Amino acid sequence: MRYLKLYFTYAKLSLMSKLSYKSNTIIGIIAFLFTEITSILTLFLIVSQVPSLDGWNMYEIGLLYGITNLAIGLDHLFTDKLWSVAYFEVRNGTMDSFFLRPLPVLFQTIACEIQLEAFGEILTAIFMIIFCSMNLNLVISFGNVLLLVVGIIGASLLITSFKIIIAGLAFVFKRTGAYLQIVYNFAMYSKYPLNIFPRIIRFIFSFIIPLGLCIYYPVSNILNPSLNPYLLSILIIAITAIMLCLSIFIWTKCAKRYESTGS
Amino acid sequence: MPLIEVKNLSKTFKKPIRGNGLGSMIKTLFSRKYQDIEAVKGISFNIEQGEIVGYIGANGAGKSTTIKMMCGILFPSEGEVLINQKSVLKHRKEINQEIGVVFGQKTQLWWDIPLIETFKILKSVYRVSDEDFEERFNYLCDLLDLKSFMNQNVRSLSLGQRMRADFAASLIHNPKILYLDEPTIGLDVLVKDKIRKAIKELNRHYNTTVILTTHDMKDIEELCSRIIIIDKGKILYDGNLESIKYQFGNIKNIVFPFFEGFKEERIKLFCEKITIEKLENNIKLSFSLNDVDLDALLLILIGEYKINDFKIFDIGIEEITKELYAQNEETK
Amino acid sequence: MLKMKKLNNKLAKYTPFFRAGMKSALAYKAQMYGWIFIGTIEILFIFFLYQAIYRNAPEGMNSVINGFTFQEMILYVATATIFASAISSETSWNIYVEVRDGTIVNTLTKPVSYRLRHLFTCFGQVFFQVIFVALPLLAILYIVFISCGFVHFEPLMFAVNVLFFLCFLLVAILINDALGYMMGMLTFYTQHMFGLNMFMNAIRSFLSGAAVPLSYMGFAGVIFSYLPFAFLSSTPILVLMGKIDIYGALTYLSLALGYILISEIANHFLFNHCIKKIVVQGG
Repeated sequence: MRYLKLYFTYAKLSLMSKLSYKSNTIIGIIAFLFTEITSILTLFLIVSQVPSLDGWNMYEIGLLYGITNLAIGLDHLFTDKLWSVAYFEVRNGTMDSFFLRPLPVLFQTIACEIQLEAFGEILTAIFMIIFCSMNLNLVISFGNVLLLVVGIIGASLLITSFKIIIAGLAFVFKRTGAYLQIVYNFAMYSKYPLNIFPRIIRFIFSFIIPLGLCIYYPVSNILNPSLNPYLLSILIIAITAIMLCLSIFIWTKCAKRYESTGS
Repeated sequence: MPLIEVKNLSKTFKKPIRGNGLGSMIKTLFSRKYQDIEAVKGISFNIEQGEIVGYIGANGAGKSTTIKMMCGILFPSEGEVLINQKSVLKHRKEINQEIGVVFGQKTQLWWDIPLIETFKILKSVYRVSDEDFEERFNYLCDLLDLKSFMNQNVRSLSLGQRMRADFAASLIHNPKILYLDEPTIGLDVLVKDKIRKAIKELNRHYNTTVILTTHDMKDIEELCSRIIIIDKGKILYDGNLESIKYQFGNIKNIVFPFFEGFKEERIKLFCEKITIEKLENNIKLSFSLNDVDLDALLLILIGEYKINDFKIFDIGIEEITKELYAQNEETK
Repeated sequence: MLKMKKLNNKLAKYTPFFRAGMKSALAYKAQMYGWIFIGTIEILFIFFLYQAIYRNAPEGMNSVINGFTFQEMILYVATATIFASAISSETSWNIYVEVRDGTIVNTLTKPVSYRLRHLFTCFGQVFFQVIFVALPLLAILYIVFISCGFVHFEPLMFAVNVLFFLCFLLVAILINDALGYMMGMLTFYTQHMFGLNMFMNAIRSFLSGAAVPLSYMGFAGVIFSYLPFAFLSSTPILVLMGKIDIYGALTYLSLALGYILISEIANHFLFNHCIKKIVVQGG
């Protein structure tokens, strides 16, 4: 409860400082918006060459893409600071003040920044979801919607967990930004229908970076029910919880090794 | 029982060796060599509640490294720091409640928002009760004169204002220990004075323990009852200020511009124990008042050489450490 | 002869910047390995995506979609990724840092042209990227594709294509740097370089045909192929792949030279305009 209250205080301050650089924030949002629009256009141009891609039509692919992007955008909105931890905050020793306050360092790292640029992703994602849903016959049931919501939040937290682990390793190895970039870029390809990929990639997205499990299967289910939504929801929650605990554990262990700069 | 115990603390940094030429840069594409730099080499000391300790040494002597290990933001290579007999690394959150830190070159204030917001959030971070906050906030505001810029954005504050605000922010939770790393660096005389007064007043009012690093001899003279001198990662001196001043206070320097006709032999003839150094266009004489009669020397300089442009000053901290270091080597 | 010597002397004072550019490219080598790895993953996934597309096309894996066979498509995408990393320069970022830190004032007081200074820094950086990274990778790529018989190959034609490609490589470097310089000038007005860069990258990657060949875009693609962006990816690659004939290549080359001339003139006036802003601000 105390942490929730503190989180809102931190978030308020973050928003206040963002608003003092209004034009930067707007440029940031537009930048992400444009990046998304061009990549959606690219996908559209490629996919529209064929009537269906291994059983997925254009709207279905668009829905999958939008929902994945929503999860990505949510993570981006709340935990963007982890990028700078992995890239330069540890190396430059600029996290001193986090280590001098009587609060968990991870809490402060996440709470200190709300990244409004993420709205570039979130807005295009919501547009894609609405637009594609209107052109599809979705099997809407309580179970399926629940599964979808659990899946989106789960995927978002999974991305966060991977970011926490790799950023946390920076406390030991000083700079892990490039590795984070590799894993993140790899994870981005879970936007495409898993069944177009070879078995090894499908395996990775189902079990190692289980983003496919959180999004691909729930979206398949809302298009063409074949799985028990409640069972799958529980599985997603369990896996997400395990990953999150693991990531916090690794971060806490590594953070003990933090070194500020010498001078 | 001491409040702070520093036990056999060491820190070694790994630094990559970089070449300058293009060729050696291409070489580092494939392999990289590291060099060990020992910043702090096994130092130990204790500090009692209510002391004001000056921690001094030349640039790169290992001052900041030690302070940072004492705060728990730098992982030591060896040894440990205990506060209230608890390791600063293992009980970080608990210890942080007891310490306040000001780094002269880095601010801990929220940069883009009004100053008052920093105090509000620190109140909830440190769980300061409303009454305590009220009392301390008003006290610090009066002491450091913060009222006039409380609602300004931190980034628009002047360096002096920002330092005072940083100072107040580190004290809002009534810490037992205050670490100050070069708190007066780059400030003008008036602000320096204000900060010194505040440190003294705070120590008197709340019995706060203060550990400060500084290059400013005046900081030390006005504040510290005890000084620890460090050089090349080792403690050279740990004791009260009076005795070291007695030891070195008699040393004077005279500096004047070089001129035609100046002869070293003449000075040496007067007294052999005067060291003569040439610094660009100046001549510097250093000597102890135990050996030299200052009046007689000045008579030579003014009377014989007609020098009317010279400065006399006391030995600085850099020279004291140099002297101490030389003495240490001799006794070995 | 004398004139040549004078020019030589004039250019000689820019060699330190060339070296500095090369050094900065070397300093980022760790990141470079990272980007090569990321690029490889990216190409791999695009390979799978196009594989699925051709698999689902009416004539299967032997289909020709928008003028590309499956093998040609993969070659195009791989070349585009390598090409983009070869020509990328830090000019806009360097200008941003100079404006932000105020060090631009120091560089303005020196008797060197601001534009040429940045151009030579860019040359240094790009020289390293092209010689040590891009050309070896491209060589491997084309040896593999040609020896496996994935693409049509005639030695003489290919040699001509390579020659033209090298000309277009130079063109791409010049246009890219001119664009970067223009972006750098924008930092006199806004401080958000990360966003500007990202925005620019999105537009550039789409309009240049790096993300998907311009032939996928129908009539719009035809228009885009005459914009300066096309020279940053589409045109050079199509020339190398032999999809543009000699006549077409010459036409594009003259168009590109026109663009370079216009953009440098524009940059000259833009700089004179922006520099007044510094004077007005008093540093």
